[in-house]
Amino acid sequence: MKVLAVYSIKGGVGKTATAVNLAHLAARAGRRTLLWDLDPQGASSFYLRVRPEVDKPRKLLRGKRPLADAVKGSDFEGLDLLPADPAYRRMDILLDEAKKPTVQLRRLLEQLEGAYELLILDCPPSLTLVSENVFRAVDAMLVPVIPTPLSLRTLHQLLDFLAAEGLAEVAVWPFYALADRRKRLHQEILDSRPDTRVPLLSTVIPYHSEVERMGLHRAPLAEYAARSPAATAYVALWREVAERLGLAAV
Amino acid sequence: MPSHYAFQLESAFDPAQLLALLEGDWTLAEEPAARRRYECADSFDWRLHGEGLSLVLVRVGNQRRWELSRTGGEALVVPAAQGLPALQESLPPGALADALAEILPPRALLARAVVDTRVRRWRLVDAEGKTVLRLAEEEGTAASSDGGRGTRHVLPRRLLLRPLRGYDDVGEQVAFHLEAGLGAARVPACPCAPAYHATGVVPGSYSSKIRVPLIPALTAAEAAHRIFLHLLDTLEANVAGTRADLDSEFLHDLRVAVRRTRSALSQIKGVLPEDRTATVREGFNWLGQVTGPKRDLDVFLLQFPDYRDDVPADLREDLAPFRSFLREESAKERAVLARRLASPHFHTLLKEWRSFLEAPPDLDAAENAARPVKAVADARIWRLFRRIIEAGRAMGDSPAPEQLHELRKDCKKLRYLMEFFASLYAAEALDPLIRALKGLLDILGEHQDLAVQAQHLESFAERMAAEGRAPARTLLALGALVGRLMERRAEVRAEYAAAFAAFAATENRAAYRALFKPPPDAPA
Repeated sequence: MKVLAVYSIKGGVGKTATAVNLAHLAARAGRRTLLWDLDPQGASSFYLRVRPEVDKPRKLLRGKRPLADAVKGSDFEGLDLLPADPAYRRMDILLDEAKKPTVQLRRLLEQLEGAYELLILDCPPSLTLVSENVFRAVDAMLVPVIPTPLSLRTLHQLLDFLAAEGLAEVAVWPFYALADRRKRLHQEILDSRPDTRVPLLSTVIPYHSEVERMGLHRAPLAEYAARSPAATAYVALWREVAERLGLAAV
Repeated sequence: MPSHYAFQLESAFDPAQLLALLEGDWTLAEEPAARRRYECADSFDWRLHGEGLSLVLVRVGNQRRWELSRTGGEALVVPAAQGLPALQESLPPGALADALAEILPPRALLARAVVDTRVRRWRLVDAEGKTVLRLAEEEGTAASSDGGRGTRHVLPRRLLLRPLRGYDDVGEQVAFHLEAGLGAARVPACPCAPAYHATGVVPGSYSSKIRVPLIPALTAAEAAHRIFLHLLDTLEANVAGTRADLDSEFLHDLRVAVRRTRSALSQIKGVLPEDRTATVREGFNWLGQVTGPKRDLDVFLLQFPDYRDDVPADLREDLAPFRSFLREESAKERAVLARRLASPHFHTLLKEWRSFLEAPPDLDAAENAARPVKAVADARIWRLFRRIIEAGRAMGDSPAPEQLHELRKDCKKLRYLMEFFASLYAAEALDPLIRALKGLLDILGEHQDLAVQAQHLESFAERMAAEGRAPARTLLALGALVGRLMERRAEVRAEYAAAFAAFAATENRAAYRALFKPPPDAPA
């Protein structure tokens, strides 16, 4: 099972849209996929029409209740969801109480080995014990970056943090998201290719109002606007990510 | 996987009726109708059924998936890359292949029944607009094996429920209402049992083992007819699969039936008319010969992985041309054999033998024909056993290879005789004797097979060299393999003396005497 986190220190960068659309495309490509909504806001769960609520979330996080018990089937063949829960707001505290708190998540995920080919973690924005757990559990981190100086700066902050914590080996795959070529700043950054320290993926996800409408449709883009530029871009992003994870179609 | 539910329906499913029974805010959204095909898969000898497994290849549109379930258990669902027939090596690696690895090889999975259905589909949607349960109403027909041809049998209408993961409680609720409110009868989700029932296919009906029910009072001629008919049935059951080369076991079982028939012809003496047995013996000798070359190649192909491990590591890759040679030769021999098995000579042989066996036996045709079968069986088995003991003792502890070969032939005849007449004896008395014999036979058999394999390898190597089909290193690898086989043969041979001693031990002899020795006044 490959573990992919969609992560950003900063909120509002299109993280959940990326997690939901990639998970949906992976399942459609025949990969048994689980999306874990770790964000207490529960946006992924909302998009997939699953109530953001888990029975006994504490037991689940402490490994005293199998993760599989809380899994919900999405409306799409091959895509399951571990819904969010408001209790995840205190996940830091829960993890901190355990022994070796920074590897708790990695241990939990061992339960899912064999059941899925791909696990996507939709992570809450922030730099906390939860994120540190994520860093230690993943094969790669997909980091959406809006083409603005502020968003690029948070990418650098993340890379600095990883280096400082001895986690420089973690694969970080940034890509431009919500790119709006009508905005001069976005255009300038896309053209000038500033130093990102790790190579960017070649796919750029454009800003498109259809993405915002995911909340109205409560479905992945490919289900209601498959031909929109953003949907096509997600397909390209999935191909690039699948290739790197070794999950490309044979 | 959540559990599936299936119900048998007397009339068409009415969504409104179900919705009226459910409490809360639900909708049933109808999806486009579809066609679904189920191919119930098992080996020719029902290995999966024997293990309580049922495997179906489900086809919806251009998507195919395997569904493996254990009676009463949850199903394992795996995307299928190819259809039936399928050998173990063509299954997708993973859970399905792992589950069958110890059960299936070398047999192939065949479609034992085919179910074609028209499906009406609905989604049960909750207040959030979330699908929580899929419903499918199936109407269809079943046909045995080939699907397209043959009679189609109408199957009862079914309603299938598939709760989405994490929504099993809804599945239970709907199942309850269907049963209690609408009077639908719960049935197994796998469609194979009704398909077999409708088409008259009996799971487990084929076995390569000898199963001839006899009673002691039967005349020897009647019993002989039954035994030969059983062997002929087995032989005929394997002809089509051998011709199509579906897997190597068809030819193997066919050859065993031929060998057993030949052995019975020579061992059940003075029971059938001599002129008849002479013709049949000649025909079956021919059959033994023409089926040999393909089987030899099958054996080499089956053992190839072991052979590979037997040569030094740096020569392993050099065996590849040998495998290609075997495959090419096997394809040629398969064509030759298919022609033989389609020949008038073959058909006449079987047809005449069958019509003779199905006619009432002639009780005056031979001296033992009218005697009770038990007396004849006792006498034959006892006599052959004593011959083996005497021959074995005369050979001493280091017999010549030819002597071991002769001893093996007699032991095999003895085993066949005990199996033909098994129903005349108490299983708890007979089975230990057969097991003890098998211990000796395994050693004698392996000793002989290794010699034959080494001989074949040498002649294959010569042919490959003569036809320019073997690089020098391949010949080296084959040479190394022959050397290894001969070493193994010496090891096996070293075990012979102890194995014979165990077989000839006092207790074993006493057990044979007690079970088979005829009273002193009985005719020989």
